[in-house]
Amino acid sequence: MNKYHIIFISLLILLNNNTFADSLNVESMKNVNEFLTKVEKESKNTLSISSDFTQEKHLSFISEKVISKGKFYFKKENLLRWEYIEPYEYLIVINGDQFFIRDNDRVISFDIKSSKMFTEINDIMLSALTGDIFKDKTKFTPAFFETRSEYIIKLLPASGNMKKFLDKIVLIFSKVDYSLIKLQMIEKNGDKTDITFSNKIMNNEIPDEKFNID
Amino acid sequence: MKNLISISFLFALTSCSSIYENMSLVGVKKFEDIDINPILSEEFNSAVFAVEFEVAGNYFSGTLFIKQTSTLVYKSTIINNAGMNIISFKFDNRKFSLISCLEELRNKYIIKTFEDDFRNILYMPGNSSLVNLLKNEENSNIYMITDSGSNLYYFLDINFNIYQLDLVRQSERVVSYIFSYNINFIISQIDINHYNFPLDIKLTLTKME
Repeated sequence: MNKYHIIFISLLILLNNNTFADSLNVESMKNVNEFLTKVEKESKNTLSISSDFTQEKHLSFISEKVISKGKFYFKKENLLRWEYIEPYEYLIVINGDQFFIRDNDRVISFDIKSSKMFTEINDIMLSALTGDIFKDKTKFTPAFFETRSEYIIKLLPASGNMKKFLDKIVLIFSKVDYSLIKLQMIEKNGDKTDITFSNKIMNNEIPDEKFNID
Repeated sequence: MKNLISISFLFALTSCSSIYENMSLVGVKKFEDIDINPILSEEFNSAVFAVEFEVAGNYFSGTLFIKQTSTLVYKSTIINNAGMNIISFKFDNRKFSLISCLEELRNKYIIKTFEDDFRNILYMPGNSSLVNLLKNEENSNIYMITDSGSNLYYFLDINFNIYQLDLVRQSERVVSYIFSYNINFIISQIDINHYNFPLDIKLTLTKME
């Protein structure tokens, strides 16, 4: 089998993959206002989210990527829990202005406002979940796209700290329920973090204790 | 209280210096003439370590990536277990440059300590260095090199691998690097202990290519 056969077969395999086919068919979003209205409506109706997540960290200078898996919980207005299970147990809880990290049985807590970076990341996450991220044009300039099954929004940092280290954020929403299914952060240095959400349960009862670390 | 501190300091100084004073000089050679294996193989392309460190009461754990982008040019990043960049830096033939750093670590002493530690791990002393060959009471081979006012003591095992490196300044041990190797003589663990700065680092190799 020569190299042209290998390339041809590889292309056939890739074209059979819906995601790849979809990515070839990215076009500008036809009705941005309708999308924004629907996201806003869905986020207003969302009181809580429980989900699995897979995080892939790609470093620009090395082929190695780090894949982590875990559970994600969100409860209105500003409670977040990132529970990393594989390959290491690691817990991040955001409860209002307090930020907790449990790492190897050690707990670090600090005021979220004391760290610009954590404040920014927290703002992105919460505003992506509530749909507010598209409203504040002073922070990000959005560009709207769609495929057959997804809405894709590219956010370019408009000012501030974010612009220094972040090239863009890509948010992918489901066309079925307008929920966030993937978040991609591309840094200026070429590093990239993909977080994919799966097995989502909306509006389930999440006890407040989930957002405390003992 | 002041006297107690002074006495403790003198005791520490005396006990420290005695380790190095009990060594006997058996010769002096040029660096290129001695048998010594580099800490990391010079041929390695990339290495991944699990990393844990504690600095000024803040504990971090995550992954350290080191890539040799060209001969003796290294790029390195530490990310925490949530994938956030803690620190990224580059060495180009011993010259350090900081690429990015978490706000909590943005302190000149912390950055300088990282710089010195990783330089000592990644690079062997310059070829023009003169090396004092020493023996201690256990008859171990110890090579001592003076560099920028500090003495670097390389403790070697029978395979000429460095199992400990001490940096000594004015008879005081400043930092110890303890190295462990696997059965193929490839580095498996590095413990870095600072005696005058609250930073300890533990690196455990997970992959090397």
